[in-house]
Amino acid sequence: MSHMIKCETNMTDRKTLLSALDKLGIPQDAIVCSDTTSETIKLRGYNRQTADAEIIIKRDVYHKGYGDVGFVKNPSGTYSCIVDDMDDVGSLARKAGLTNSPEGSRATFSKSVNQWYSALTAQKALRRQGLSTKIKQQEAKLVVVATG
Amino acid sequence: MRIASITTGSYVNGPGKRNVLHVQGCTIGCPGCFNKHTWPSSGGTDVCERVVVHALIQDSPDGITISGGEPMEQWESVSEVIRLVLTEKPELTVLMFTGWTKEHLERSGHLAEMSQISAVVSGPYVEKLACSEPLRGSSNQEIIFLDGRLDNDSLVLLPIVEVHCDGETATITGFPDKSIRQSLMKEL
Repeated sequence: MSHMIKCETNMTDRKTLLSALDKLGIPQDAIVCSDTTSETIKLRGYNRQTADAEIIIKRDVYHKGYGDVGFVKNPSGTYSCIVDDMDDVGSLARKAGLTNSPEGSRATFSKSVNQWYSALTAQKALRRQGLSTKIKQQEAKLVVVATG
Repeated sequence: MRIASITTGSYVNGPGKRNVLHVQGCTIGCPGCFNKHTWPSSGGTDVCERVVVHALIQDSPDGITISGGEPMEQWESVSEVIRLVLTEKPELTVLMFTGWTKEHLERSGHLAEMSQISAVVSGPYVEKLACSEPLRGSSNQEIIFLDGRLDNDSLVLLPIVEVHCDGETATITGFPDKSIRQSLMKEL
């Protein structure tokens, strides 16, 4: 039988997360990071509200939404996306060329970041095993294909 | 019929782009099997054959692949799915995996009912004969070509493994050896 192993994916590595944002076409100059992974910087939300984040996509440089979009590391060591309640990141999703889905723009954006994160992680692991890889974009997912 | 999953757009489970049905339920229980979650017949989901057919022909595949679980333990439903798929899309090739050996398929009379299938990968998984070849988990497994549309040459350049990244989950499919499997499970 062919394998069929399903696993949950978690974003834990900052460098890979930044590569995933790059794959989504978010320009380097729109992204600000804390100096180290143990520090945070201030994300600006709607009406000058702030929140702590480790990676920030600046609204005024890129997506012109209600506020910045950021990523913060949870106590469990996994990154999650933070965004002001006033902004469903529709502006960011549109700017990144992601089609709106019934689940909403915020979910679409997070899902796309997670897809690229997993694909790049899988690619890295497979290359370390000496395999050649290609990432194919299909309608609702990314597929990493590896040959010997 | 009882199914474990349907994976669309796979390139590792046979030549070209394929939609893959993993059926649920297997009583063979090969030691070292990597799909143990597909063994219990109480697991998975109960789905009518027409729904399975609809899912298997979506997104213009070049063929369909049936894996498991053990397809021969639901042969009546599986053969009906194959018949309906080929009625809708006669151009598709059908590839099936089974833990039954060629001899077992012949003795049971089922091999004679498989004329519409392009190839059957037959035989149980034998851990000590594990290999990382296209379509075979272990070297004892035999590929039986049936309808003349697939042959050994069409299987030469197949990938070894692929990872489908859906968002919060990733599905590993294909024929990775233990080292590749462990590396992916650790990193993802």
